[in-house]
Amino acid sequence: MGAAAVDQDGVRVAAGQESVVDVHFDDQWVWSFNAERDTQLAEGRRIARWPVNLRPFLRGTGQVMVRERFGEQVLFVGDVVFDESDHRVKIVDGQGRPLIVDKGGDMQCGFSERGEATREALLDAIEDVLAKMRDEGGVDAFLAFGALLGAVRDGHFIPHDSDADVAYLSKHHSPVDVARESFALERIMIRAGYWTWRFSAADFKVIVPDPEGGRAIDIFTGFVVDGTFYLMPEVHAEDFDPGVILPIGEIELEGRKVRAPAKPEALLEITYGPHWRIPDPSFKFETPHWVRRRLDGWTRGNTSNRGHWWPFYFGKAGSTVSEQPSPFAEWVHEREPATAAVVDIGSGTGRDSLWFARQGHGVLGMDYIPAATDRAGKTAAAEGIPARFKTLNLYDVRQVLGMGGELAHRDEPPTLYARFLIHALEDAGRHALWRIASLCLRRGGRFYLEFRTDENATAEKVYGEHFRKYLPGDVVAAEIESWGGQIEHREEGYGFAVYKDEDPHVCRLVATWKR
Amino acid sequence: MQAGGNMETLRSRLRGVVARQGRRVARITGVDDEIRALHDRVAELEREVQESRLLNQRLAELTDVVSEVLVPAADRDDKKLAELLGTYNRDSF
Repeated sequence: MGAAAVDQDGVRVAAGQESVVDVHFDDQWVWSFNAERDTQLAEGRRIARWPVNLRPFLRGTGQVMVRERFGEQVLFVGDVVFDESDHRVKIVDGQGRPLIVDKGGDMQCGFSERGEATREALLDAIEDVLAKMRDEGGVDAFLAFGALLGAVRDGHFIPHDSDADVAYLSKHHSPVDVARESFALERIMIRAGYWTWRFSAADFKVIVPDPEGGRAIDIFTGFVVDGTFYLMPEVHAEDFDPGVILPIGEIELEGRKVRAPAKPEALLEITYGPHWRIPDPSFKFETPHWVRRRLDGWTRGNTSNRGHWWPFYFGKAGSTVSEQPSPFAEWVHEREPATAAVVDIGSGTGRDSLWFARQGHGVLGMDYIPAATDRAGKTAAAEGIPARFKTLNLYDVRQVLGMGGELAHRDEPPTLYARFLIHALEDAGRHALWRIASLCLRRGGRFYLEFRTDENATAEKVYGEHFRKYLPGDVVAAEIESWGGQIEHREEGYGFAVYKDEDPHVCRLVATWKR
Repeated sequence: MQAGGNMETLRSRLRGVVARQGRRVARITGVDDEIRALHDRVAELEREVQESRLLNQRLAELTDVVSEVLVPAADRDDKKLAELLGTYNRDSF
């Protein structure tokens, strides 16, 4: 038995294997794992399973090398057959650039593979974002995490890193005020023309357009509560000395002077621990339970089930959804006037929204995964059909009240449409949906709903098992009535939503909220 | 070494006996039921603490809407309010 074995499931190393292990395909480094932390014991060996996002690339046969990062030992070299196809495994993006598995498990193209124009565009944006945060947002922001680490080590971005991180120390000590400040900063970035995506109430992403399609700058809040310093998303320090960060200094990155914490080395030690100087691409934060619970509770209340839907729409799975309209969309189209404006909540790939628009309806499609709304919006623009798409997170009170209010001010009340949404929501999301309906249907308009009932709970699904809440039609109807709605039509059973090999038991409801 | 090894074996056996007897006593006196109930109670308290922590975020969101939309709405200009809502939704998320 060799020092390591590789198969379709993953990499198996000896039970006593320690430290970081690198995995190469051909001569390309693709992934690293920590042999003790990232593996499970199986049949006397430790197995590191292939990361979920790497798996779609593992088709056909690939030449794999497994070696210790900090030792000389090569643990495995050889061809591995992943399936029967004639493919040769290539871990590259659409433009042929090598991809790596980053610490979040996502496939990324590192800075080392990017052109100078991309790096320059990102540096320009870092300067612009830092200046806007200071001048318009009133916060002293600085380079942090990987960007700071690279700058301190050798004045360059870390080759396998793929985005830039900045942070600031909030002057607020209450999570409420910390969140409000972050909301205000995001508005500044959106008004400056950046596209943003929020990960929690205290960190968000700014997308910088560049010649290669866009890079991200993550903006993390640092704040002190009861003497403990928290830096989103995972860092903390007890008995924190603000002198680590303030007064803001400068550091050289790619030949430019960029704003940096007062003591960069001290912040890096807080961030990555005492061994921060030793490069370790398998690094993962080991966040104490009490820190994670605090940060989850204070800032991450709107992320329900994102772990499933984010990769679904960003990865290849989303493209397997049919482009044909659902039978429910056709049924709604027959019942509504041709001029009815449709608001599709939980629009997913935009399959039904785009079809409504092709029939002449003005459509607003909303979903909480930006890859979904972005792709559907591009299709609508390419076809020149009257559909636009926007992200909407039903767990965010701002968005629920804001969109509900905006829709309520329309000259004509919309036709609300939510297919296969109810069973995908936690209770809070479902209640937010009723709130939107009660706001925007006060002067008329109907709400069309189709969802899996409790009778579908144990049936086999085309897309497998993930979070679904199966409610009986009675319960949903009663809930709508308790929120001030009236049920105008209700039917349930089989044969309404046949999809591929699946015929789920569903309920169709039509509700109004007219006062 | 031999004496030390025997002593360690003895200690290990003793720990096993104490643990077994401890569990038996706990079962007889109902202490194990109490420990189980306390485990459940701690889990419940952890859920309750998280529910309370979440209110920070909800309050921040609500305050953002109030300060950005509801306060300017006091002008009672419906057209302006509709524009304001559109701007808020476009610029905030």
